[in-house]
Amino acid sequence: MARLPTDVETEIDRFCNDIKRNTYTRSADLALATIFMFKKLIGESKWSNASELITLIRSQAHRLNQGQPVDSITFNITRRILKLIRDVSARIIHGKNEGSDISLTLQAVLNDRAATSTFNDDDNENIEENLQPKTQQIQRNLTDSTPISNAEGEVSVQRLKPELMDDLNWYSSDIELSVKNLSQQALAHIHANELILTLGYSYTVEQFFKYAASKNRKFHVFILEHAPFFTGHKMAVNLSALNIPVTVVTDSAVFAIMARVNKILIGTRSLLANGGLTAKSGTYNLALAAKHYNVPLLVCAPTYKFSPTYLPSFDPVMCNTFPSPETILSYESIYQSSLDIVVPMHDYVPPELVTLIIGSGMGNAPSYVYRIVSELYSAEDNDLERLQKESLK
Amino acid sequence: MVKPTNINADHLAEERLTCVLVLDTFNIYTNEIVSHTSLPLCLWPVDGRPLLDYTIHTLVRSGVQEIILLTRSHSYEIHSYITNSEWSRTYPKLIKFVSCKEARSLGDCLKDLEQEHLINDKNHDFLLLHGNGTLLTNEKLDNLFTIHKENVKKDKNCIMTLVYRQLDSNYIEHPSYTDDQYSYIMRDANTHRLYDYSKEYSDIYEIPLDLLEKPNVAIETLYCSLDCHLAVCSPDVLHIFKDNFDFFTMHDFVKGVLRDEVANQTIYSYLYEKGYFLPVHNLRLYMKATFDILRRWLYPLVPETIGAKHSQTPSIVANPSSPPLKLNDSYLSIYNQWYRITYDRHNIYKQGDIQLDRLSNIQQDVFIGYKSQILSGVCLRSSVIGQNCTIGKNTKIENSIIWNHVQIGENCLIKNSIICDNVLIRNNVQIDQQCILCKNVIIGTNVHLNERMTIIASNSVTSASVVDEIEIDDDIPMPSKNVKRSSSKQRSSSTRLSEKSFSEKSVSSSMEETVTSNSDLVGADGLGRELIFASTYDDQTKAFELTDDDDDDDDEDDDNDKNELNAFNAWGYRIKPIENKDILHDDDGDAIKSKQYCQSMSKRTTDQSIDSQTGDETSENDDDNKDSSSDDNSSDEGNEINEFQQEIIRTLERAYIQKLNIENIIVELNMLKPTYAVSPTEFDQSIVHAVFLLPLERKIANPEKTTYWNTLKLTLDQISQFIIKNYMKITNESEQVLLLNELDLICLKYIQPIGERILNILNYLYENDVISEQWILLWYKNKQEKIKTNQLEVKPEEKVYYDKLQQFVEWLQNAESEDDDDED
Repeated sequence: MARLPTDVETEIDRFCNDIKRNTYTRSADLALATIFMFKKLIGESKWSNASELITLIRSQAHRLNQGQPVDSITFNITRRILKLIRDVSARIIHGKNEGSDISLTLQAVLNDRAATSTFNDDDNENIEENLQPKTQQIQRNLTDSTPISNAEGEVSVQRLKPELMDDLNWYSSDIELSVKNLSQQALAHIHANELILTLGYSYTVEQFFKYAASKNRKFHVFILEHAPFFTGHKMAVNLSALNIPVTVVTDSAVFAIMARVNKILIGTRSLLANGGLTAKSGTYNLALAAKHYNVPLLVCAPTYKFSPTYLPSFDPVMCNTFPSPETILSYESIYQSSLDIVVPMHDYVPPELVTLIIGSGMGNAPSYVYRIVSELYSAEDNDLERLQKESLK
Repeated sequence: MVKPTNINADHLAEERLTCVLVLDTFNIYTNEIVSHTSLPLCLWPVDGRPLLDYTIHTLVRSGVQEIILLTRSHSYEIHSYITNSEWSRTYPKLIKFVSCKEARSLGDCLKDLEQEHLINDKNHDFLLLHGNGTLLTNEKLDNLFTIHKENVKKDKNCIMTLVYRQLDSNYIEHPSYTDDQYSYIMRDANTHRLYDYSKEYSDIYEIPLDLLEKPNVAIETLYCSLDCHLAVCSPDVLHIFKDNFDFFTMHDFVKGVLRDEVANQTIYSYLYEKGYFLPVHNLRLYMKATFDILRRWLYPLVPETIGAKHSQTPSIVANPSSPPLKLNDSYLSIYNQWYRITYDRHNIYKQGDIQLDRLSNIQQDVFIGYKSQILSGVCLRSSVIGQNCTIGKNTKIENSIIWNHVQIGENCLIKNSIICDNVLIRNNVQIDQQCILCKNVIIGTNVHLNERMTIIASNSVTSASVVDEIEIDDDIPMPSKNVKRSSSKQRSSSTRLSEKSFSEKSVSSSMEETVTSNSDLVGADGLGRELIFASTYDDQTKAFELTDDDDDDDDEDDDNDKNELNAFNAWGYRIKPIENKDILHDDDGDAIKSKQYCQSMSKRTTDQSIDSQTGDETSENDDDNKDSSSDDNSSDEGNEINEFQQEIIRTLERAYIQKLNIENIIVELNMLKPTYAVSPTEFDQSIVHAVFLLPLERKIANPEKTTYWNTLKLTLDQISQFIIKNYMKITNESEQVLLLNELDLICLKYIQPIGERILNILNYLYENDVISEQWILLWYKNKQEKIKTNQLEVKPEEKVYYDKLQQFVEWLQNAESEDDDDED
């Protein structure tokens, strides 16, 4: 039976506390810390085969994501690591050929019953030499009513661990490089003498602009200040240090300036499976104004921000955080309890308002996000947040 | 490469960041209330988590690697909470304990800490959080160490940096600014070196002239900056506290260091200009903290993240190194259960499964605990409901904090109050002002509490069973009767254990004669009585070895701990001079004219109120004297004697209430003699007067219930007869006659209550060998002769007295003759 040693246990608790206290300022830091945590968990806890490891991680998933919204990065990382474990064990079972990888992708597609219609499309794309073994395997999986975890039960620690660690290292370096890779597409999106609007501070967007400026592309950036946090000020200072012409605009002027803007480039907190965003508050206004003036809205989203969840409703409280009202009304001021201050941090932006999503590899339409998501994560792990809710009852 | 951005890697930092929390307010009023809730103030629930949790979160977030808890009372509870909590599991070496059971002040605690040698490194600066040790803030505090280091670098004599939060200078009415928070600072505008410091409110402050003569000094004064009760200290601070045993509080320390020219040590200050800071050390701030957190001022430390924690399966939990202490207190174990908290619009927090009626009206800023039931028509606003509570139909709750297992009936109105565990409030109850209902209290039907008061259930063991009996015949369905009952019993036992240190001081509040439950206050079907502080006040004065508690108001020189801390009540209000309070109560006290209230007033008000009451009384007496008595004293002398009489009455009254020893009273009375220039005869006369007027004093406070005779009997039983015996020996003729004459005078003056009772009085005195029959007979004979010779005139209203007297004498003679017959 899989067990956690005490020090891993405390490590997890500390990590949870750090998340609670907003220790991680950048999302990439959080992603890397999560992977580091999992490496420790996989490396130091006792488990004998892959399926045990999967159950162990799934049982710890609630703790890691405690007090976090369902589309949070730790969730994504957890799912991605589960997927990696499944991949590695499948590779060990079926030998290290390319075919098994593709078949696994298809397997995921197959398991996702909603996605059966696209199955044929995918088939046609990869119609070459892999067709034969792939279809065989699918049939085998279908006839085997036993779930995949049974097969994974055969994969032992000795074989799985080194390969998995390699994969995890590769994954974390991938995350480290994701912003860099993403920003290298800047020249394709930022053209000469364009007027680009952004909202608040985003590390990814900053790097994107930086790269373009370093290649001597001339462009002008309008920055919405992102009240009441005013992260836009930091963005403006950082960009002007690179000699990029910058104008800071108040949030309320978003509609007024939209007519002059060529393009909008923003970051996001997470990207949902339907292509919608949960981004900084004020993004919804921005997107609606952009729609009105038909200005393209580009979203920079590294892979770890892709989340396989949907928002069940347009409830502004869902997937939102409400920080201290101090940014609006100072602590010194005296007011009665009848005064209520609401400071939402995030906005949900529906996919139809998003033009393009710039991932690490290439630009994608929002309608294509679900495909990326289904390749990134195993459909079996989509129930993680449901498990979490149940565990708390 | 992957680097952990984990700030908690304690082995990495070459320097340990340490924080010392002093978990006691040293305010007797707060501690008294706290002792009736069985939880120390630092473990009081704030939105589902103990107050202390928020502080520890802040400290860990600031990178503090060592927290030392100095506990005084309730150290067992704090210890068991911490060892069973997540903290000891997640950060095994984080928290250390130092128990200072004997400590009476901050200074004592720090002396104990010094002896533990936990901080012995010469450069080991530490954060000191005093004043209950619970500071709520969303700022990180690690920069304070750097600031202190810089101050030390600039000025090697710097030993402390005090931390304040800037508030605008005109905002003395700021809600986080209770009366005890007041502080005035004079400091250098550039270096922030502290020059003067005061916690007293005054209209004029002096700036020493020599300060202005120094070159390059820009003086800055700060009013109304919020004292965070936080200081970065060099280890020297502990030594200074150790060397100066008269430093009780931080105020003494700062004053002392600033005044001390020899050591030349300096203190600096640091002012935060943003961020939320709230040092919680009284009940008003506790309530404010609770609601501020609901309004998210403490983000990121908000309930849905702090309170959300995956409860682990026991198989995974393996902590063999430290076997957990057994949790006796069910409340503490509640802290170890975790439920998912959902946050909804208008700052409504729901913990786990709750029952919310469709017709209930949850307005805003509300926290509802696990398994609580909110029935239809309930209106909640700015309130916290604990776990397993039931709120009856059409009840309205505003600005209140309700702990766990509380039941509230229908049509109640509860405002601005704190209601502790296991309280039962029946139907149609109104609570308007800041009340605290301590655990196990029951408030009966239709009771209206409109005063600020603290209601406690009895401390005695029987109370638990009483609670059970009453609960059983209650018509409101109880979801967890078994749990509740067992827990209440458990808790009462654990409380008694922990209250040992309190026992001499507070629990035995010298009110054995009051019944455990007061039906006028809490209703016929209620349980509880008001908590009164008079005795603890006296105790405190004794503890500080003041000369006498008669002169509390004129010890200006005594500006130490007592004045500074205990000048404020548990709510953080400055305790007003008691006369004012009296007037105030008289003005609005229409509904509460119950006897308990009056009685309590007479007890709470110490000498001054008695002063004022008896002052009125004496003026009447004076008039009476002039009208009716045949005394030939000049008015000046009479005043002197009257004053002396009042003094004796006061002494006796206090002695009676506190059950002082007879010898002590007599010594005290003897000491009064030289103070007032009275002759021995006058002294004896005054004693008699005092003894027989004493019940009258109490009768003023107690209009309906007790008759004069009953009260007199009580006082005689307890003290008076011994006093009379001491001064008027049964064998001494002149003294006995004096006693009878004086008694006669009193009876004639107060025919109505006293004169008509002469039979009982004389009988009592006779039975108890205070007075001998021969003197009575002798005296009566003389008196009769005077009446016959028309030296004494018998007025018609006095006739009843003379009749009774005659009756007694006849009885006496008969008894005697019977005795004689028997002898024959």
